[in-house]
Amino acid sequence: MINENPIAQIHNVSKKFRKIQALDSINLDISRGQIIGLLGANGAGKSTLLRHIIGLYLPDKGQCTTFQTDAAKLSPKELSRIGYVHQEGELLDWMTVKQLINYVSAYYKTWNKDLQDRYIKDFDISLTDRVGSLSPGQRQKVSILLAIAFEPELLILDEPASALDPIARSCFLDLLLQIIQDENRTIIISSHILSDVEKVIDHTLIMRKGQILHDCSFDSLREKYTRFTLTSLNGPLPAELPFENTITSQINGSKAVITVQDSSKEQLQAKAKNLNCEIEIKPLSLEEIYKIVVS
Amino acid sequence: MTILQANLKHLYQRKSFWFIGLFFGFIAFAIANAIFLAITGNSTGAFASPIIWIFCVSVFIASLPIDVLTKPFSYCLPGHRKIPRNFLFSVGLPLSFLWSLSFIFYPGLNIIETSLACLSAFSTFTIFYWFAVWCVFKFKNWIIAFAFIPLIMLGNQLINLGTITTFAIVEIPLLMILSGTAVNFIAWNHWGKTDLARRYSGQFWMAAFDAWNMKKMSKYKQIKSAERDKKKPNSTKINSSVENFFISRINRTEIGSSGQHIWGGFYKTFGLTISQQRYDWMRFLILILPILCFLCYMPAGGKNIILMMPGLMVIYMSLWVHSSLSITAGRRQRFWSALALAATVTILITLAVTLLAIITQLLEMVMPPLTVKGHEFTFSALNINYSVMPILMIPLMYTIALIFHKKPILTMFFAMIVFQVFFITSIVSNLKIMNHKILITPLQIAIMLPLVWAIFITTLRRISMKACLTN
Repeated sequence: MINENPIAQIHNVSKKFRKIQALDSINLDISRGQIIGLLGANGAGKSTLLRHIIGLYLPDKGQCTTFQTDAAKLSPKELSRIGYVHQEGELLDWMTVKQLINYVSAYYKTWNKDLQDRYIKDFDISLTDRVGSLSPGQRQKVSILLAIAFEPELLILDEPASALDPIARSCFLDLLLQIIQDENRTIIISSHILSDVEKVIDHTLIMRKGQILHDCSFDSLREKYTRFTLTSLNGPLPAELPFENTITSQINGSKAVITVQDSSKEQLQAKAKNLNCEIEIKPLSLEEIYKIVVS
Repeated sequence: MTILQANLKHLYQRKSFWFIGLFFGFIAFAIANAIFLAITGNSTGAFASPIIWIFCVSVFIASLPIDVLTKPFSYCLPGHRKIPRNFLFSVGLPLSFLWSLSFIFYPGLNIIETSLACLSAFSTFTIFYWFAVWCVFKFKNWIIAFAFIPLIMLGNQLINLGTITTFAIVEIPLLMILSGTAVNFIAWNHWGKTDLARRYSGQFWMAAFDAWNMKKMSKYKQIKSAERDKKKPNSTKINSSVENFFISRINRTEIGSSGQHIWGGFYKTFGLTISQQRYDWMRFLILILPILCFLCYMPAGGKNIILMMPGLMVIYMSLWVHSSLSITAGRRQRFWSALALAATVTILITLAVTLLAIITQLLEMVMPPLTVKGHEFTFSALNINYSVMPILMIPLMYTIALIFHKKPILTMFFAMIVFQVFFITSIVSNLKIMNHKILITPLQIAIMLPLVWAIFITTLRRISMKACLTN
């Protein structure tokens, strides 16, 4: 990712936890206004990468800058521009939800009371409940509220919807769709619920074993991988089909379902015509693309 | 391997139990020695001393099946329903049997009487074994079971409980055997109930070493607070005037300044304590005063423990350096806020223990000497010079907590070492060894004070500025 006005820059960052290489020479620029989907299996290094961006972790090697400041030296001025929903869900358990909101909001000049009230209403959050007695889903709702109500420029969501029920997840997605309308806002979402993520992201980062496998726009990723159904108009299909860069191929008599990469729609149509076949091209979902990439 | 064998393996698979085994091995050796001396010295009370050993050991043993039973996965394990009962019987009965063999050496009994005494002792030991097991299964925190030990020891001091129990074992064996059989029968039925797994599955319970697991302890406190809240609403929440006080201080300070985060740290640490209602403070005083008096009547330097316990307890008090709660604290702000908090805690604790020392000095003038079983006990006040101990101890405790913040057992291990060093120092500083009075001088304290604080500040700075900051 190359751009002139990056909100965060990660240059050759490596991080090791004892014998585990959590990040391995990562290079990454995050542009203002991007909505990034950070994908990867458990232990791929997603959370470690996010924690480097906000300076909670420091790299063993390389450099990480956020808002043009070394992430290790981020001051309250820069940190007040970052919203972070974290996996641990660390909250102050002995407070009521209202007390927690009052406490956290005291640190932000830009706290949006209207947004807070709307969120509380939409997500049905009880202000009088003690935080320690909330269910995991309710805790996650409170975490999200605390991360978004001051309208941060950089919103980092580390598994934000893992504990939410389907209705709350849907509400959360609606909220994200509203938030991303602000073109200056950058959002990084790390999630395993890819069907949700693909509705909002415009950029994908796929990680495996501490390395970035793919760093490209979601559209180009979708164009890269194509799945189509081929139907022969004159009898069964041959065992060998002349499509280049085939990833998977399932031939069943006169029908075949084929996944290819780096082939344009026009090329595929031309080849299908040569074979005297009908072709039906279907876009792949993010989940299907992810499975192809990591396998 | 049978399921029971797999469960019994927990006794040696958990490394922390090696420590328990070693510790209780030493105690067992000491008890065996006491029994040996009792045979020759004709002081039969020592024959009952395995009761305390069995009671303590069984608390740890029972914490193993409860640990498995409360894990949701174990509910569906095939053939696991009767395992807790089988486990408890497989361990408890052999232990009780082994200790009951000590009655073979009971003086002045013929073969039949010896056999009956052994059987009677076995029954009695199992009664105490099942009592401890019941405590572990009844209370979410097994530590409560240990509350009975001082009672047993006090009973032994006041009414010679050991001698009475030994007398009962030897003189009325049939009654003891009948009681033991009844208790074992009840235990067999109780821990064999079909709904046992359902009742405990997914429940929050403290396992053997969870008392040193800060996260689990915090969760436990939350559960207890929620229970109190149900009984008496708003009894464990932050008082609105306390909240307003701290929030207004945070608001008044410049946004993003270290001052703001220092106030935030104070609020998070002291908010709930200050909000305690009047009856909580009364209850605390009602509890602390008798303990204080009891310790001051004890001979030697044991009472100094009251000056040092707060210093040990700070390891459970977070400095918020590793907090990942979404607020604006940078590394520098975390450092200053933690330092201010540590200094404040130290000053408050030092003031509190000084106040306690002054109270005991005043009480010394009015408290009469007590005579118990021919022994005279005089009230001796806390030495006010030792009030300085927390200032030296707390920075070291915080240093340990910072270094091992992800390893609670190591935190407690090293904290106990520091605690012991201070405790022993407070005792030996009053002694004369080879005509030489060991004295801790103000000069030594003046040298140590900057040293311990320098260690703490260097560690705090290193962790705040250079370490990974997540819990």
